[in-house]
Amino acid sequence: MVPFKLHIILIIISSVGFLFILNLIRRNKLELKFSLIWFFFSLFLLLVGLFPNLSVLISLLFGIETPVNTIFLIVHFGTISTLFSLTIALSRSHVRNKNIIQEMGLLKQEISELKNKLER
Amino acid sequence: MKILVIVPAYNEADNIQNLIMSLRHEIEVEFDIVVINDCSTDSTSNAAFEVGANVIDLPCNLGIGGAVQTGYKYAYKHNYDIAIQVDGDGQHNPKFIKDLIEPIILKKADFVIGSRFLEREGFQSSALRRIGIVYFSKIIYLLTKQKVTDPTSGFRACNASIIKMFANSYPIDYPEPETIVFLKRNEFTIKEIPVVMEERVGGVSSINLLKSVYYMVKVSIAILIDLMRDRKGVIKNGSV
Repeated sequence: MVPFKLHIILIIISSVGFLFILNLIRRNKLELKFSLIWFFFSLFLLLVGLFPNLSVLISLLFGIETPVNTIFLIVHFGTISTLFSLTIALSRSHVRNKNIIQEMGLLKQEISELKNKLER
Repeated sequence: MKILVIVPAYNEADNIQNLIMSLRHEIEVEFDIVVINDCSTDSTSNAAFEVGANVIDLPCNLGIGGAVQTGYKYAYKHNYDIAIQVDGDGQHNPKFIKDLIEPIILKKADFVIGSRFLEREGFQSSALRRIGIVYFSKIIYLLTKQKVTDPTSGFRACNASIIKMFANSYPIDYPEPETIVFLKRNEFTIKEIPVVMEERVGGVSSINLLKSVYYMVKVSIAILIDLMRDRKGVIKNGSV
């Protein structure tokens, strides 16, 4: 069984976290595209907290002795996936950023060239 | 035939004017010059502007790869037939430009690298750097069967189809060895010609020991990963 105290902590933290994320998305502070992974992650934790048998069932399926370890494993996996999705998003915006900077340099040069032509 | 000299420069206010002057003294070949100022913190941009150079000022520092690629984008946009890269620190002597572009004009090569080790004349770089250079030329030969004695040389020239390719995708930092593997994968002909390089006059080189280690590891991985890409075709969405 999952210790009772851990349950309470899980329920409180995950529900606060879930509502926090939901509220941020609602207020357009978080782009749903990037926060979807957080959304499902916190929703899953909330479900595990509310239905303790869920973690017991998963432990049995995976052959893990204590449900607490199952929860830790899932949290760990969730954290790494979230981190990785951030790295992907970062790489993508890095390339876009670079392209914009280059384009901007080229445009600046073009503008000053046109200015010079006009002045002549 | 339209020829462009791309000069990437980061904090080269001490060298840039001399370089542009000596480029202008090369009257045997007719070419345009574009200086890519990679968001220098000194007066590189003004110094180049004073001698009437065409300067592209990048609003943020992109590093050598991003700066050079800007030059290739410029060359592609303005339909240049040949682009030549000359470092802003004055290490590359403009008198070799005509040797550098000759194989391209004669269609004997698509890409020409100026090597300081073919005839072992002039500044031969520090011992530490030479170890790295030998390592890269060995690894490139092992993987692509392409002999390159100076894979880190930034003194290079290329034809229009490579300009187009580089405008699309170019490695971000320490790009020189990686581009060789990239071009080889796309079945371009690479040739080396002997040049004499000078020791830099003013300013400081951007390479130190810790960076060199990072350089070696990063470039090795980049070369290995490049081998896993499709034999032909540009990296999707341009260069990570």
